[in-house]
Amino acid sequence: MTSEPSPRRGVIALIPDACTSCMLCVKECPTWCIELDSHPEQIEELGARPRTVNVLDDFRIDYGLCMYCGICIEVCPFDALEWKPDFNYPASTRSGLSQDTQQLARWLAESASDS
Amino acid sequence: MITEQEVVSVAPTAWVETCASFAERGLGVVDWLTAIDRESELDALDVVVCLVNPGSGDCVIVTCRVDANSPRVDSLALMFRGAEWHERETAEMFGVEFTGRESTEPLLLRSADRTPLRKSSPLEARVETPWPGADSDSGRRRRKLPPGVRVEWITDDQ
Repeated sequence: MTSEPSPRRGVIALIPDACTSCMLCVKECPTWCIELDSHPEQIEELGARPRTVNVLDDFRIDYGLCMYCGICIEVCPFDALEWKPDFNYPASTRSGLSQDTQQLARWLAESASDS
Repeated sequence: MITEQEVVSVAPTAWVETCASFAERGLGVVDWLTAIDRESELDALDVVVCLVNPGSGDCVIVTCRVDANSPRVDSLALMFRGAEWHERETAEMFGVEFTGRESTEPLLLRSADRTPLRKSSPLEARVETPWPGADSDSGRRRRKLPPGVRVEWITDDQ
């Protein structure tokens, strides 16, 4: 094995705290493989008018549909999606290829500790 | 990577003649041939061919605009054998009629009444599948359709 290509397109990981549930990635995805659930929440801070923010409930990428084009990563205005090198995530069922928020965030952490 | 290429637009009547003159200048091989649906702007199709000189790598793109309702242009297949397959494909996918050659027998489709690469051809799977990007608060705004899906394809039960 020689040096690995960069960027290593193994998996797309999510930084849940950076996601504002703006839906841009979901709308731009050519294969419709991203699903996102969110709800609005009122935030009240001292000395400021109450404001409404979207809170992320669930973010799923179905790797049975994903074609690894990376458009979602490019359109994300908050850099909440990232390429990670992990590639080993097989499943014995079709639905098992769909990864949820926790798993997508775990990939982020695992790769961070690797490097 | 797409580099700057010479693009020559001609009338359908000058299609074969123009390509022949490029062939005389060494650009004698058809790299590819296809069509572009300009329906939304012009109700027309552009037939496009890329001619190359295999020795030098030079190429030129020749295009001609035909009416979308009766797209017809003379065939290049007699002059360029390499155009044969591409013309069959373009005839099948866009409904372009290439005159002066043997029949453009379909490669994939069983019937000739569909032209899947025309923009007017309904994307059935995209109509039937719920779009994950649909706004959930549909009451507030008019529902936005997924890219490429037309409002006239949506039947009442969706």
